[in-house]
Amino acid sequence: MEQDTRTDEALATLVQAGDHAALAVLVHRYEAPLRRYGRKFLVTQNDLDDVLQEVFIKAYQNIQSFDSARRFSPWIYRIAHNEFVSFLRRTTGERVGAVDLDTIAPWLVAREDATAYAEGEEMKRVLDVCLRELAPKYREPLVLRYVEDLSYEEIADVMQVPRATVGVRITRGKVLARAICERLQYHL
Amino acid sequence: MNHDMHNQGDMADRVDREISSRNVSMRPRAYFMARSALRIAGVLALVAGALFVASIILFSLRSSGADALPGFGMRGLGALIAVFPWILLGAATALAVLGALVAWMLPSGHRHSFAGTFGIILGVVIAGAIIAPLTPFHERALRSVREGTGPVWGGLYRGGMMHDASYVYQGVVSATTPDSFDLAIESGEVVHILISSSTRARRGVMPHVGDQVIVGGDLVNGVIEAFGIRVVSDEEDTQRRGMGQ
Repeated sequence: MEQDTRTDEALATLVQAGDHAALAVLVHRYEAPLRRYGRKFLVTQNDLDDVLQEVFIKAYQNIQSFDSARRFSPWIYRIAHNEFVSFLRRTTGERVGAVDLDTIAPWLVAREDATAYAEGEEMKRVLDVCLRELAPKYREPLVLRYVEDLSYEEIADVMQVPRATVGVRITRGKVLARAICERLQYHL
Repeated sequence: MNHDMHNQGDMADRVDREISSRNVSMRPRAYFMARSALRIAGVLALVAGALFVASIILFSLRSSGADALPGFGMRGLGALIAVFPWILLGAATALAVLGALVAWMLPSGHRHSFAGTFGIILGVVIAGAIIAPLTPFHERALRSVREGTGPVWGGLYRGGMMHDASYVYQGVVSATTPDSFDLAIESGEVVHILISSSTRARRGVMPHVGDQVIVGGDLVNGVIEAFGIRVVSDEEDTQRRGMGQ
């Protein structure tokens, strides 16, 4: 199959105009990253296909709200985030609330420098090992940052929390992930 | 891995089949525009409501003379706490919090912290509440409420005004003695004001006949033992009259 060189945003514009083939290309393009995101965030394989199917159907339903002047990936990740959060709530009762002290007044919660801890590859290894033990509210921003390579602004858009909250959760998540790794006696 | 690759081939077909079988359709752009417009209108309505109620509080404090009470010392502060329209303050706060919540839920609203959003709205409400009593709006509304032709929200004025409340009275001095004076208050009644060594007077100014005066004290059988008196200057009097007196 020949590689489609059209941008996500161009494809989304075509879907807006009723082009189902463009939707299929977007589904092909985003299935793997969203599956990876879902597996890391939800820490489950069960029902992931059904959840992903709902993500793409919701994306189709709401495609007219997408502004093609902006990037498509944070937009679809946001839909995925909403679906994953409601899936978590349904299946495990875990709440990944947007209304938390770190979204109300992030500066009260932490002042650590977000770059003071492990970065990049090291954090990916940490996440592979210790992710399951982390609370979803820390797990998700770490996955989006270190696995999906989204910027802080994009993660804020996906999770619908302030940028400062993303910084706080990533910083705290790193500290917690390292502590978990140490507890599990995993050496980085 | 095989599982992933297998599903990757299927997913587009699955989605396509589901869209057809469930008759899923795209929501029109107008739907999203209407939803955004409705949310923005909701924020504006809630902020305007908070601003309106907050401005009634300031207006009522000033027009009843209760704003002079803090200048009368601890008893004045106590009296202010007693006559303050706390319910209106609660209502204004609730509206501002709701407005901040709805604003925070707007697509780009979450980029700021909730406290930041609430702070901005609170700033707008306070600034607006300070400015609004300088316009004739409240004066006209209060007049129509008194004439019985007021709007449906006229009850807020009745709740906010403290003319009938004890502890603070305004009127014109009709007679004076060295340690007392008579005050013709708004209701037409003339009350006798007793001045003692504990009575606080701004800059020590004692009233003369014809002066507009605010008195803090409890009215018992037509007599007030004043814990504070304030002679209202002509300029301030004009300002207060402009606010409904």
